[in-house]
Amino acid sequence: MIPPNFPPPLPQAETLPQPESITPPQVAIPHSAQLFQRIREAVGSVFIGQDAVIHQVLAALLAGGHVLLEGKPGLGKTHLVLALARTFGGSFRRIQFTPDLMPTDVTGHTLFDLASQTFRVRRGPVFAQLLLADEINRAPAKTQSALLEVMQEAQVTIDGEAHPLTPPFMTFATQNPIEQDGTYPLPEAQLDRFLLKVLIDYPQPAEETQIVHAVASAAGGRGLSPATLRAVCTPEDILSAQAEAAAVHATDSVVHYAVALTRATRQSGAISLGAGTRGAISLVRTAKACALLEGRNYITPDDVKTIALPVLRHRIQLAAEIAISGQSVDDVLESVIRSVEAPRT
Amino acid sequence: MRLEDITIALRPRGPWEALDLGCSLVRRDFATLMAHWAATVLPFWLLLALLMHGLPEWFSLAAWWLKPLYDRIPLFFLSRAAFGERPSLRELWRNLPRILRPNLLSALFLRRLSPSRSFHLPASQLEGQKGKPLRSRIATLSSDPAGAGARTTWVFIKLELAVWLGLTVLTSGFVPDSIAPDFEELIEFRDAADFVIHPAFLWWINLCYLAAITIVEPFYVGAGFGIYLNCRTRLEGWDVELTFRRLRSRLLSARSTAAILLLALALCLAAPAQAALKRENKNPAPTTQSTQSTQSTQSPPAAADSRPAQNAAKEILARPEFKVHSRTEKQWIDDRSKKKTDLSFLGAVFKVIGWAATAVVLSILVVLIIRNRHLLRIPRWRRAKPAAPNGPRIVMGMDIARESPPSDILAAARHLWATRGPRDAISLLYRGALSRLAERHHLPIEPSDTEHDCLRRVRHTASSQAASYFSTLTTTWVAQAYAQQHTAHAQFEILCGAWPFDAEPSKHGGPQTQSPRAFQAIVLCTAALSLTACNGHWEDKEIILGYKNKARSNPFLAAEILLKEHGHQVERTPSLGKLPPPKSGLLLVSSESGVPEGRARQLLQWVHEGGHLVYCMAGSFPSNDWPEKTYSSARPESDQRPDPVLAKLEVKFQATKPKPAKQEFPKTPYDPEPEPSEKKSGETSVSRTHFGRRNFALELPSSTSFSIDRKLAKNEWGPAPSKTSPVLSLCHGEGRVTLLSHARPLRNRYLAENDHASWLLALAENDTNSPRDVRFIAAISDGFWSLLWRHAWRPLVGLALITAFWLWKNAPRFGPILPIELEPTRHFSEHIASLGHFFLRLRREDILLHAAAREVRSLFARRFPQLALCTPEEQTAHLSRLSGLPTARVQTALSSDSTRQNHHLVQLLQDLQTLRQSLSL
Repeated sequence: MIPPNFPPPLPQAETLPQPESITPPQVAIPHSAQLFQRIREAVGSVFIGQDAVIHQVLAALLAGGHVLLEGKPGLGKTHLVLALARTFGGSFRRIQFTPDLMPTDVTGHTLFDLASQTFRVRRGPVFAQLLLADEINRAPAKTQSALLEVMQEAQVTIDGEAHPLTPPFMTFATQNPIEQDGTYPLPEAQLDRFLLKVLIDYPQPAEETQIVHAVASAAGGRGLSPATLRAVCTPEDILSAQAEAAAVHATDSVVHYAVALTRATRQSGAISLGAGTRGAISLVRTAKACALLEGRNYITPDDVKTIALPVLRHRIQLAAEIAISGQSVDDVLESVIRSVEAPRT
Repeated sequence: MRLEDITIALRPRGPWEALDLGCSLVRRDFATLMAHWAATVLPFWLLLALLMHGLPEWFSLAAWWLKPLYDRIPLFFLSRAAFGERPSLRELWRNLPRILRPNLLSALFLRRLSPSRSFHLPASQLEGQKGKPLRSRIATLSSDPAGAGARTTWVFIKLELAVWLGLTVLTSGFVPDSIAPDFEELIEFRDAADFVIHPAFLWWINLCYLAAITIVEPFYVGAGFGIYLNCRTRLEGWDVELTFRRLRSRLLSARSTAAILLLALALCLAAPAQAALKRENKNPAPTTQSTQSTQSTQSPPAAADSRPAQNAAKEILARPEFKVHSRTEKQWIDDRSKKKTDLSFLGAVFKVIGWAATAVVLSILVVLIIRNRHLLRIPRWRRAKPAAPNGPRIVMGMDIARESPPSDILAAARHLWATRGPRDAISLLYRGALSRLAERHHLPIEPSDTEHDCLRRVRHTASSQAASYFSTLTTTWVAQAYAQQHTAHAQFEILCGAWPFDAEPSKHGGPQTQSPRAFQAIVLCTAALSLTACNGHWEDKEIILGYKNKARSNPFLAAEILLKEHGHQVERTPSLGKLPPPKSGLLLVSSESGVPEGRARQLLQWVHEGGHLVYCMAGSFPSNDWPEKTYSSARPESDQRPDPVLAKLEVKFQATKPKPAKQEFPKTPYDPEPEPSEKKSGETSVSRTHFGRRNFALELPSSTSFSIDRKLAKNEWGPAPSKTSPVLSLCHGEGRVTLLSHARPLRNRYLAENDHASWLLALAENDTNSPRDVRFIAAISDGFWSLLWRHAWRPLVGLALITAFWLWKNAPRFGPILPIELEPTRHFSEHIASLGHFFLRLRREDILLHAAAREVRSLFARRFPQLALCTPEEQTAHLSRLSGLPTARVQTALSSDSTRQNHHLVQLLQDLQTLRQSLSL
């Protein structure tokens, strides 16, 4: 028992050891972290000024999730996906969603081959490793729902026959925050399939100047083209990194914290529809990926808290009065995050 | 019509008795009066009902508004019946235009809402006056009956309402159910907008109201007439005149020698008294004479023996209500001020600088004491408890409150390392570090803050050394808690050894280099110097507060009591209102709030009829008489209008600004107040004033005085033509106006001084030694409209100009005056597009489709009228050929009214657009 009022001896300031002499525990950087650092550098060389976006996209790739990209036109959404596909040599397909796009235009269909007198499967554009669904909200809900099985099960069923996709499979869907006329808002089930909703904003002035200078100085304005990138790894490396990310250690307290955050969205009065269990799962998955990207094999509450906004922002619906009052989803989510205590260790 | 023929007993009556007299007149001839009413008013109402047959709901209002029109019928009858004549119906019809014409418009509009309508009606109708004479006459009459006319109106309004409601309720049982409204529906407000009352029911209510008017209105007119008769009897002495006239007629009819001799004898006996009276009138008693220069035409008056009145005033002022209140307070008396009585300007400046320097030194001293309070070695038991650190007690599940971690965190951590293991020990270090940071640096931590958030806040708040240590500690803690990496003991010892929080001084701590004893010595020396620098002492000072309660709110309370004790009837009124009878009345009026022109005429008219007006130019407002004030005219300098009373009397009033009291500069709060009893020299002076046969010593402000250019007449006292005096007494008609520059002699505090009390009693005396009806009138104010115009004529004129401009700008005119400017308009197609977006958002695409299909059909009918009788299939086939669209699509486009798919809607609209374009070609 320590006497409560016993004054400790006051060490003199000159004799205090310098903080630099205290060495924190050293942790070996995993191989996947180095791999993704190379991917980050490669993508960052052609996609300038969006480090946070690249980080979140890489986290989603590492976690094996899909990304919903939202940004105004001309910010390089397609450019990012193309560059990412080039870095690991994966196949890339793009679908431009329009109101008259049919589900079979996405998944594929069977047709009768007169020459062979048999039905032949004509595969749709989803049969790729990186799928870009451009302006996904332009297509009706029926067409959007064609992606549900693809995103969840990584397979396509055509005429009752399941066709698995080649891993790693990742869907990038983009939508435009403006020009909402004539669009079909994504259904909640569809939104929940996306691991992250990443917002792309305008780059900083210096970086924007750098982009303009680099693109305009090339012939035909083809500067910063993803075609110039070389693959830094193979799809198999991505798969092994994903397995490594899944094995990142998560203590119970951090998982509890992720669950508490998710449950807080359901209990908030400002939110009419909160995130489901898939939201908590996505939080931990993404936190693990983030930790691995930072070279750690464990996650902390900071990982969860940092990634909470992109993971949860598309999984909630604001109450009508809050939406009318002009508050954004991010504002409400930040207040919800502030209301949840950090985990008990 | 002679006064001798009057059929009522004339004598002064009270208001209610006069009202009853008028009602008795109506009761006496009620049948005849009703016949006259029926012959004239009922046909008028019939005519009015015919004119308003479609507006039954407004009929009662119209009948009520036109009351002044048919009030004249009973008054015509009553005015003649009072003198024994009872006009017939023929006379009534013959005189009807003469009855109705005078002042009809003003009665219907200007005076319609007058509360004394029935009382003013005889003055308007019977005396035949108009305009200003009528207003003057009404004002004269209104001064007598104490608002009896208004009270009569209120009484009869209630009577009329009672009769109306009573008749309505009484006869409601006879109303058929078919026209009676459902009052339950109205009460429950089920649908008030649809609540309809049958016109017949409204006419029945109107009929009840006309019956109520018929019953009540003659009595109302009679009551007003009775009050009018009583008013004239009191004002003009009709009863006395009537007695003399009857006496004269009786004497003339006797024609007896004895009567003549008796009359001669009576005249002989009355002659000496009359001669004496004439002598007295030839040599009137001089009353007012200034000690400076007054009219010398009168014999010098004797000095008044004012002691009895003065003693009476002193007795009054000795009463409890005139107790002079005071309070005692301690005041700092600067001894130096007694030595230096005269400060030059330079000295005053130095004194101000000295005070400022003292304030600065004291402020610095206070700041030093506060900042170094820890050096004063205050005992432990007197130290304030340390404030709880801001922010939460719990962060990341750990209690970081000050009392939570032990005082020796390092020892406790080492103990935990040995007993429980590294995790608890690192946890205690981390928690203790947060606790110390929250305590010393007021670290703003929120419950949701994670380790990274805490580190960020520490880097922002704490010193670099603490932030660096905390960063390392956080890394160690995170690895221990989340990565399950055990911390080495050496690492733990390094962390304990580098623990910076017990040695680090508080962020808000002060310097520790000063010697406590030296600081204490400085404080003591400064305090001693401050004390020895004081040069003065405290004294109990009595502050006179003056009167309280009624004696404070009424500056003439003592004067009123004094007059009452001498048998006079005294009343204090807030406004002019009712005037006392001129012969026995005495008015003390203040002109401080400004006397309107009309009120001045009324006052002088009252004086002309025999009243005595004491007109004070200042000093009538209720205010404290302590301490002594500087006397000046109460009227604001901006009010430069000549006083209407003085203007009519041709008197000039001079008010010079009083000399400011000698100001000792600078005046500090410690300077002694002037003695309450000491008088400022040169502000007041004692004047010898004559009134009646005596002279009085009055103390009045010397800054104000009267002068008059004309030579004073007999019985007038005041200054010579080139001189001035603070008191002036003039004759006006049969009465008298006494002008007083200031009401100081009559105020409570000064009434017992000099000859003020006896002068007041002399003012109230009259020739007959009968009691006076004295009125103290606090203020005279304009009417509402006059006040509004006087104080707000600029905004009113501005408002009128704005209104006129607005009317000129917006009133409809015949023909274009201003050119119509065509603003740039948007293309029609944009409106159509917006409309389409709007309907599409509302999911009302059927409106779009119907409109487009209707347009196509209309164009088709105009272009191919010969195909109007064809079947729809033929028309569809023709449209298909014309537009090139398949027949099925044409048919679908023309017949679809809704669709659930946007692309289908787009297709339908495109087809309809194609059809329309093909028809337009």
